[in-house]
Amino acid sequence: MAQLAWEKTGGAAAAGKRKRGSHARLKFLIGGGLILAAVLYLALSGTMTGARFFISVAEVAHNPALVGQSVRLTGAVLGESIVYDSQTGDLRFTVAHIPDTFDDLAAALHQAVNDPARTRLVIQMENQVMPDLLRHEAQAIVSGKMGSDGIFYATELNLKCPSRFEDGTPDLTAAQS
Amino acid sequence: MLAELGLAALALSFVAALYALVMSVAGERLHREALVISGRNAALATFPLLLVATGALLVALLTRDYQIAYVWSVTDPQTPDFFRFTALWGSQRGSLLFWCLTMSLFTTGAILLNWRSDRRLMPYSIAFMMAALLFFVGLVLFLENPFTRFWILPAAPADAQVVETALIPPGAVLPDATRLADTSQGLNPLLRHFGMIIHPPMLYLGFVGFTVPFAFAMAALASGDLSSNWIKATRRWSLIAWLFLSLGLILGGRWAYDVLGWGGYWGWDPVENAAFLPWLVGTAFIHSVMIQQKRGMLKVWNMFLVIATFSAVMFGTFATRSGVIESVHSFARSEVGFPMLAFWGTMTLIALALLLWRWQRGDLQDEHHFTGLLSRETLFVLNNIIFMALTVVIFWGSFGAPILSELFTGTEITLGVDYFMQVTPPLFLAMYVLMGIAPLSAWSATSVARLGRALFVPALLTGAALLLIGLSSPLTLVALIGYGAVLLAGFVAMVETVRGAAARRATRRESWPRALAALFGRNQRRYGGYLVHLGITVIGIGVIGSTVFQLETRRTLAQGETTRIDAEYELRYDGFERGLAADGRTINTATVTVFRDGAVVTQLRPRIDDYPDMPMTIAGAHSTLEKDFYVLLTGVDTAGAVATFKVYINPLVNLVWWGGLILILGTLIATWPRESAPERARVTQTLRGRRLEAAG
Repeated sequence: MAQLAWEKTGGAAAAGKRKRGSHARLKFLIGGGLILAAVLYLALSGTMTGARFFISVAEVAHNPALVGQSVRLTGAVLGESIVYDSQTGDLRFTVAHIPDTFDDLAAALHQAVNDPARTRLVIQMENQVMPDLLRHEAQAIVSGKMGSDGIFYATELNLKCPSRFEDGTPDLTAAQS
Repeated sequence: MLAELGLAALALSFVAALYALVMSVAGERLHREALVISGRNAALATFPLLLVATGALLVALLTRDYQIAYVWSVTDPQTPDFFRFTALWGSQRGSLLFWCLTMSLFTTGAILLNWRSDRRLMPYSIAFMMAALLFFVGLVLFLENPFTRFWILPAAPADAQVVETALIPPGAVLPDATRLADTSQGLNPLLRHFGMIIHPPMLYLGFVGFTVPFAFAMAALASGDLSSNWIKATRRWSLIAWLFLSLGLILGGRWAYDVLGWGGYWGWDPVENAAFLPWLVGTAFIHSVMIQQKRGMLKVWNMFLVIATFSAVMFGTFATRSGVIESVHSFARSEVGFPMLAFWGTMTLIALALLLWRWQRGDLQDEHHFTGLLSRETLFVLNNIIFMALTVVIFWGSFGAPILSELFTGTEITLGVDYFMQVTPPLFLAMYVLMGIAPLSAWSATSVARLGRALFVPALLTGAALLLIGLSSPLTLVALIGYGAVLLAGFVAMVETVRGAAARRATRRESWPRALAALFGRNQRRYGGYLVHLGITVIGIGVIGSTVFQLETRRTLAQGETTRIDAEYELRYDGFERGLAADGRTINTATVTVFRDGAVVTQLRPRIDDYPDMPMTIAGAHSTLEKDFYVLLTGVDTAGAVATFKVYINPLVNLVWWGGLILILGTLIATWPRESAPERARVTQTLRGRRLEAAG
């Protein structure tokens, strides 16, 4: 009898424990779901706000539908086009189209600036410090909006100079021993 | 001679790593102790061999051996000896060799220090560590060899006469040494900065350091020793790796602040983010393993986190070194990209497969389950979720969205700074709130009332501090909320430390300094951890101050002219000078005087250094704990009569660096070796495990 009573009590206790356990699990699941939903909402709303198409100079220059849209593009800098007004911080330069894929960045940039048939685009920026790496045949990655006047108004500029980052080969032809 | 020596040592280290990998696995599988010991010895040999290889390259750099292509590409005759030393990691090849050296250093340390105490885990640990080392030494040996030399082939066509090879080609003659020196490229000017001298080694140590906990975790999965031994064995290694990674990130920020000339230290650049991801996952891991040690919970999750940390390290390495990601921080496009991607994928898949196998077998059962919503383990898990959410959203913004959009739409969509500034602040806020609440909660269960009582004093102090800040300067709502969360975390750490010391004083009648010293000595992990939290708090205050309240303006001044910058500061342009430095650059220096409330504060000398093929804008800054007055010379007329300056006032920015120092101190306290009993316990446990295995 005592054994039976014990079993009954134990069974009820175990059932209660199971119920509490599943109740706690439910609370954790709901909490986890809410956190997941909040993070997803943050990421999605951030993506909608911050998304920019990364496209080529030719696409930006030739597609009127892109006027006024936030885009990011990359091109080769034409050195002689760089105009910087240190008093106002206005910076203007021209980039030439480079293809989406290439084997050798330095060669792709060299070809782009020396090919007069390549699409070119004027980039205008305000309140800039003259970037150290802005020079002839540098790769410019700019973000901003295309204006209806055919000028690209950029707000962000990143530059890469292949000659400063890639190993070269010395010109030794004049000095063979 | 140096090239031959370096090449031979490198090749031998490759062979030694391969031998160690094979012997360790074979010895463990065949139960042949001699093979395991032989593998261990080969693994230990990799460090001296890589030290010889690195030493050979270093001597070549210092002795101006321009025939070695790496020396030619990163130095020139004008490079000072100091930068010749740091040129070791100034480009891809040298830095990869240095990376291998640091990895073998960690491996050697782990083998020597854990060999006796974690004997059962060692064979597979050595195997996994050697697999990683083998891969990187292979990259250096076969794809990015720093010992290749220039040769001239007189018989070849004119445009193919100069070749670069590791071995001497038939019929080759030596190039002229003077001509080589004259044409050498020199170190990238961006890398000639104090921060860049120690930032890369710190980052490398942080990255490679996480190989050790990963290898021990994989050894636990492979060997079946699924107790907490692997966590005990690698706790310090994880903390050391985390410490170096933190230091590397902070120094990288300081370099960007001083050298890149935009008045900031974090630009949400993909490569910066790639280095931040392992830090986030690693931080989650360091917190999460405490739960397994205390309560025997989260065994699968901890394994997942250590795999994710290693995976993030490998991905970060790929992002930086492949050249695939466009960034001012990345190396040039290189052949190492695909092998790195393949290695990253393979190691991650092997690790996940091992984890799944053990999980399915039921070998990773937790000993307890979650109960209270406010228990410490629940709050730690919440903290883990926040760190992982930060990891996911930063990965998505940096790599996920561009890659997936390109795959599915054919057009790449990138997410700029706006995305990160919108998505990450709420998560960082949650991180600080949890950092404040979790240490006050008890294991297993805590009532709201108990937690409220524990929070009362820190919350009161936070309110008082906010009031003081609000009275001294106007606060925006964003800053108010941010400072509130950050200060709460800091006050909790301080109050808990003071409470501990006060308890000691009451029971043992010790002085405050003695009680505090004893407290940190007795419970290094807990109070070292509080100091780390305090460091993160100080960093948070610095980040909010310098981000929300930064002032940026541009002024053009004639010599002698003074201009007002804000209500407090004025700037006077005093003069300009142009000179030639010994290394060939032209230095254009402006002298300006800074006034605060009418009194002279300091004289600054912002300058533009014209290197032969690029200029460098070096800021002049007056730094105090309160704010930085940061001036850039952006333009000057030929005579120096008129100059234009860009001025930034960055409130509290120096707290970012000081917070970093506190964080380092806290981590060192938490890591410092003290106890020896757990090691003996692990030996006993391991031996018992072996006996059972033999009996079974």
